[in-house]
Amino acid sequence: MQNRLRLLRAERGWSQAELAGHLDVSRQAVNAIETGKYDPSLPLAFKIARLFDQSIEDIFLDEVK
Amino acid sequence: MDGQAQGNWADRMGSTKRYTLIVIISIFGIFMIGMLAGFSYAIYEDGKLPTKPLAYIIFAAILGLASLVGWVLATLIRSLRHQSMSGFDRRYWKMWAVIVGLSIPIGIGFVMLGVSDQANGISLVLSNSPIAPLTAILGSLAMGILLIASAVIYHRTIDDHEERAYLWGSTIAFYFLALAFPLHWLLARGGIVPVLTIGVALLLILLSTIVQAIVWALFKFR
Repeated sequence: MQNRLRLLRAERGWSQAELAGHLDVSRQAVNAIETGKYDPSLPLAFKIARLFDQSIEDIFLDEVK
Repeated sequence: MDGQAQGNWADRMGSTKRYTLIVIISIFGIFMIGMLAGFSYAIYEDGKLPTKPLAYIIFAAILGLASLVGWVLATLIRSLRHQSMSGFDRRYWKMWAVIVGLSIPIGIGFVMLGVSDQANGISLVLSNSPIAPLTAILGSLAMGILLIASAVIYHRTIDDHEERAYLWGSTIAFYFLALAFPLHWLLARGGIVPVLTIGVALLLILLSTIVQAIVWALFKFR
């Protein structure tokens, strides 16, 4: 699934490790989400949405639409 | 960053002092590796494991000291790079330290059980020879406690991403076993491979854990 996580992270000037620290996950998890190799669980998607103050649909793009 | 370690003992040192310590501790670390290698080589040369418990206590002490040296070095290097671990990373590495910390004494206990049972130490796990009932019970308990405790600690610590890597690794490892056993059974009936013994079965289980580890690593680090 495509997402805007890398862009949102870059806007805040955070490294992958820093974002991982905010989300309480590993840096590998952030990298895998950004490269679309791993779709996060719903609780983690909500955590990401809360952190960036956006809705899940604004961050994760529904490819069917 | 959330949960950063601020101002630990290494951060409060001057950088010259830290570099000096890194060099001294590295030399000490090389000395420790030499001691461990010497100890292992002496066992290899002797052809059998030492029978005196003191030898294992010394070995455990060297291992413990080597771990301490590794931790001090890692803390010093991390403080020099001005990188403190996140809360998650700290919990993650602490989890591995606990699992390794549990494994070492249980592993040493396992070897000592074998030695006390006159089963030539390591043959307790690498042989099919009979052992005393008490050794069998204690060995099973140690193995069970280690496996269950490690699994609980591991699954309570990892994140979703690693959980998925673990689940895929386990699934592929199960497919490996589900295929390997009937294949071996058929081939053995055709006289192509030896009849399935407990040794071969354990080897297949060991191979399945290697498959699990490879798939886990592919999913975690791809």
